[in-house]
Amino acid sequence: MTHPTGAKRTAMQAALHLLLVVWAAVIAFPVVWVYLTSFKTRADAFALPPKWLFTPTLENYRQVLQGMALGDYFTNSLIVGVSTTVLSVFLGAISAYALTRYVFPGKQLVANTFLATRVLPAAVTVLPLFLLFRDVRLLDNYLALILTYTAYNLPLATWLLVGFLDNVPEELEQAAMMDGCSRIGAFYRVTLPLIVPGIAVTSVFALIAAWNEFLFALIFMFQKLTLPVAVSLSITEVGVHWGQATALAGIVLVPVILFTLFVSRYLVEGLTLGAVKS
Amino acid sequence: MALVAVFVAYPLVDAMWLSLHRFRLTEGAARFLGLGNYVKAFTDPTALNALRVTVVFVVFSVASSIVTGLALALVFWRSRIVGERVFQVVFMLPMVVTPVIVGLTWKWILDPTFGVLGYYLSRLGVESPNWLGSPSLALPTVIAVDVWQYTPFVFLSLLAGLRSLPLEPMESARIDGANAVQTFRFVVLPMLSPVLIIVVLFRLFMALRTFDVLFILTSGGPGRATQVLNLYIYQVGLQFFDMGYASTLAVILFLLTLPIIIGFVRWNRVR
Repeated sequence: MTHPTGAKRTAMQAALHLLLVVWAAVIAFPVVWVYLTSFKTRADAFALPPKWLFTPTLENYRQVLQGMALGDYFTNSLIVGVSTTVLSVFLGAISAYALTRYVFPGKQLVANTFLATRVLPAAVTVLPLFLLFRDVRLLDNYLALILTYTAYNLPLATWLLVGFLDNVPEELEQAAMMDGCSRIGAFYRVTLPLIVPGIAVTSVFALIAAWNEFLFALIFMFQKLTLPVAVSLSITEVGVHWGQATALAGIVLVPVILFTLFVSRYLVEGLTLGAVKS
Repeated sequence: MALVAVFVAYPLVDAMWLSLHRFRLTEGAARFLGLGNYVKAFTDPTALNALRVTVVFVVFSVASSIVTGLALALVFWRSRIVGERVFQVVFMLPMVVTPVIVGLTWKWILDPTFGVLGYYLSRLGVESPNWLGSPSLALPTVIAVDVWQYTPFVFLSLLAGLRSLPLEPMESARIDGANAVQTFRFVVLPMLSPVLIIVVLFRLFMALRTFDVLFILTSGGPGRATQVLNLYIYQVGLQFFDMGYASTLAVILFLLTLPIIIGFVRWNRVR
């Protein structure tokens, strides 16, 4: 990279950075706005010109924590999220292992079907699944969401883990097996520690996907609602309960923001590395 | 090993099972209608409208975000960005934030009475219309929100892609006398195309999947101005409970995604 030489170059760099900052502001604005509004009183929230400086209040959060059954929604989301993640990673690891270590007929077909499932708009499968769950009495049951989310996550989880497993040479496992380990033993002792980052990334993806999901949660659950559906409840015929909605949103977004911090690097690399590495 | 095969087969079976279901053209009490539902779909003005809205939405949203993302990626490609990690995190936010919340926030911002956007526009002397409530403006507005949401993703992906390209071909093109535009068209673009193609494919299916944001922002309104097929299926299946017809529509939607799936498969093979 050449050093900036001369004022013109520096000016250009500065201009570019300014552009980036402006764009980043536009991008971040809605999220920032949610948090700002959640700490405002009703009057402040609707005030025009919008108040950037104000006395914060915890009223909205108090309302949400006491009024709404936040604990329940949170628990529901947590249970569904964690279960989905564990299941996705577990099955994904097995599938990925099968795809990278074995050659079996129809392997390409499996890979492609995985891809196909991932691409489907939710509306395509919502109805058949709804009927299915209704028939087996799994509606309003965590399992309905867990199974659905896992099925949707599995392709991505498998794909991610395949990427990581590809980097672990088979010789390592074979060496372990020659030392007396079983296949599974070799996997557990040798390979698993090496793909821990892969597992971490996959877990985060699965967790966010389950945490944020709306349509299936809306349709399959009646009492045991998850957080995104709870947020949508703030929209009533009377109008939107903004204070409640933004406070709830503020809480819901905390894990999301944490996840982003962790995963941002991998998201981009993961996608494009797939294209570049060959 | 059999165990492994079973676990791999499970999602496959799941997907096939679903496709069996989709062809169950029946209502609550099983009635086989044959292709009647499909005929209905193609003569139903609401369905055709939904189709039109979907196509418009997807095409414009994807095109805008790709063009913008690419342009910006090209601008920043050779520069060293201060605090890049911070930007990366911020840029990932719209994609990762719960779509329901995205919808809710934009609903606020775009509100004619107390929306922030309206206020700042009026400060600039521009009369701000009812973005989400006006039949002619609703669809562009909704497209704009989708573009807002995913352009950063396009930008980051293409930026990473560009950065991974070898520099020699471009240097030699420069030496051979090519200007920036020519270098781009004949050197950069071909080399970038694997990444570009997959970004476009991703973007396409993300646009087709949009439901949550649209549901919160407009629920298909005003009238049916923003009712993409996704929303219409929801309405038919879960508000009118006409499962058969809704399934038909879902199949049609699936057929729309087929080109994308084929695109993915082809791309996978080329790798």
